[in-house]
Amino acid sequence: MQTELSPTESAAPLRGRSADRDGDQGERAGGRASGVRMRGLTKRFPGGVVALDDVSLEIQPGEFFTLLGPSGCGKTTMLRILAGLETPDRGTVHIGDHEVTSVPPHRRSVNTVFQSYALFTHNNVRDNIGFGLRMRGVPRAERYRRVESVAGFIRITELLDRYVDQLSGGQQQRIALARALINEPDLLLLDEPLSALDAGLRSQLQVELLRIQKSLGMTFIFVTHDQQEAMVMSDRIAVLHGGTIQQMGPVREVYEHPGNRFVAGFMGHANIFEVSVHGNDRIDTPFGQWRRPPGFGGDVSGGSGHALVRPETVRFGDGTRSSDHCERVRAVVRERLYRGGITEYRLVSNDTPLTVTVSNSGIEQEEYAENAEVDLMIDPRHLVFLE
Amino acid sequence: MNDTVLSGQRLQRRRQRFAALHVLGTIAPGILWIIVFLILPSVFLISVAFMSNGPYGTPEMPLTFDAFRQLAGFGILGWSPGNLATLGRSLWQTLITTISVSVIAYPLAFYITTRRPASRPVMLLLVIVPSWTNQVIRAYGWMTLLEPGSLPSRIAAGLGLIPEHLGLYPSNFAVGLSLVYNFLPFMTLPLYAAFERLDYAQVEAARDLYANQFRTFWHAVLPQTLPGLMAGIVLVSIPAFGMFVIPKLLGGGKAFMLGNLVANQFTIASNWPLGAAASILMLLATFVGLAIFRRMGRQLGGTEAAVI
Repeated sequence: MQTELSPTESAAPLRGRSADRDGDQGERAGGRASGVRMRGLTKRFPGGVVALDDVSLEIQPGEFFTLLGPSGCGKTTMLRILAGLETPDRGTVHIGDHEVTSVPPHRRSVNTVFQSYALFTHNNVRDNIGFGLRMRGVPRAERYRRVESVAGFIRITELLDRYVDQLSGGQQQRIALARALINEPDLLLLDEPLSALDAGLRSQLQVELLRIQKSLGMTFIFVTHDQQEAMVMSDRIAVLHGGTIQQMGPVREVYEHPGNRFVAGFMGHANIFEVSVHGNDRIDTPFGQWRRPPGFGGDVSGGSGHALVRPETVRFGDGTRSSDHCERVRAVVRERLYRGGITEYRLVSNDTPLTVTVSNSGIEQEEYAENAEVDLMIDPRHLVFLE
Repeated sequence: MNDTVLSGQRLQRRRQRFAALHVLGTIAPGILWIIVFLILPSVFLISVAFMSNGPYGTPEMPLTFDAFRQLAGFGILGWSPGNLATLGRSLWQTLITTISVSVIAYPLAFYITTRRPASRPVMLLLVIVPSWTNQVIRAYGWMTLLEPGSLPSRIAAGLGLIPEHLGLYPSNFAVGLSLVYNFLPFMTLPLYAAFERLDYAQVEAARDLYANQFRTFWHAVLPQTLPGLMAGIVLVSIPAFGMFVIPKLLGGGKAFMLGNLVANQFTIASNWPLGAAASILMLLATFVGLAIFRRMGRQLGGTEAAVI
């Protein structure tokens, strides 16, 4: 489904990288892509706001890594520390093999795509993109040649002579990306680069960003508050909240096995209810006593906590077919929300709210009216235990 | 029946006439203002410049180029460089004043922008307040401050900058200092406005793209504040070029500027045609200066700075 461009062909415009392209996927991570290691980063702002609290993090070369969290969680501060625009109060930053904790931004092989794009309003697009090369002393002819080839790669050749105030948001976004990419940094930082764009353009650029990252094999660190975006794009994500990492791992793992209630709620719609464990084979839920799924709650043989079940894992029972694994929950439909591809039901069972989503794929799919009494089928193996 | 239709048409015609009158009434004061205060004086000034100077100091017929010849330095006693030197001194004094004011006001405006929002208006007020007093009073203030025997004069003499018995006033230096003092607010305010809306993200982008401190300033800060700087240069240089109170009071007759030349012709020298011709020269010099400046601005500042 992605834009068809072989890595070799598409990476050619960025000089000096084509040699690394001949290898297979594993070798992509080679070249100049660098890993990042952050140790014990702490940053306090005047007024006592703790933006980062003893955060450690390791990012692999060539990885698309996302820092995900609500506003004020510290993700932008972490990005700014990587760029050199902010200095941590404590902790160290390594990019590749070099410690860069106190290296100023202009001496780091790191470039940023800013949230506001931050294009130079007094320069045309050509000189915006060529700025980094100019600062590095690349002669004009060579500079413009490389601007042309990157512009072709990002598909903005026809914009090169325009000024920033003559560009749309999506165009500015591409130019900000080209301005960073042309320098072939060890590390590319993206600070919510798509948040100002409308939904259609946004998903188009998501795919394009991914294509660019994969074909260049560059290390991308992406900051966003949008968990959908994070899931589409990232190899791994770190969920941040209150200046600490709540959970870090591959997208699927974080979504399906969130480590705590915050992550569970932030990664998508979550049904969370209280449970208590009784021995090795029983748990108490608001909906009755269920069989304890294998491994649920770890080694605890008693005690209480919370359980998560995602809305898409709950099914409506048809009343006839009985299921080996599923527990039956009697519930009342409160609201039905048609969302195009899916229908979302808000229900209540034993005073506990439950949300269920159904894919609208059936031809004669049954619909449930408000106030209807229904049977829900929940497979306890889908339950995730949360402290 | 017919009557009402007729009166309806008449009403409409009257309404149209009223609308026309209304438009005329709206723009008339402006037109009148321009005629009375711009066109008529200009016509008068240009006419006087081409008339002869009568024996009693009144412009008379016939029309001649005498005033312009005098302005160029050709007098009864042959050619003298006096007027050209005055023009040169005016241009030089304007240039020095504008540069000095820019050099002081630029960091000052930046400094004010970086203060707490609550203290900024107070600091701006401190910059503006001196200009609320009369220019002559301020000039006399500088006189007292710089006269022979005053503390600054004794310090300057002590450092060997001026002879022992002289003061800093009267001198070209006193004129320059007073001009800088006088015009500082006119540069600080537009620069402050420019700094206030500076897009700091562009500054960070420049640092991120390998620009060191100086190049960050040169490529990301200066271009953004250039419109303010250019507005300030126009606001300072044009009135400085025509200034006559400060050179007269603080120059001690040695720092004669074009404004003094004009003022003298209309007063003690009673040579209106020469005064008018000198005024026209000042206007032309200003127009030429502005035209050059606009060109430079367009090249330096891209699209935005060219507005001025």
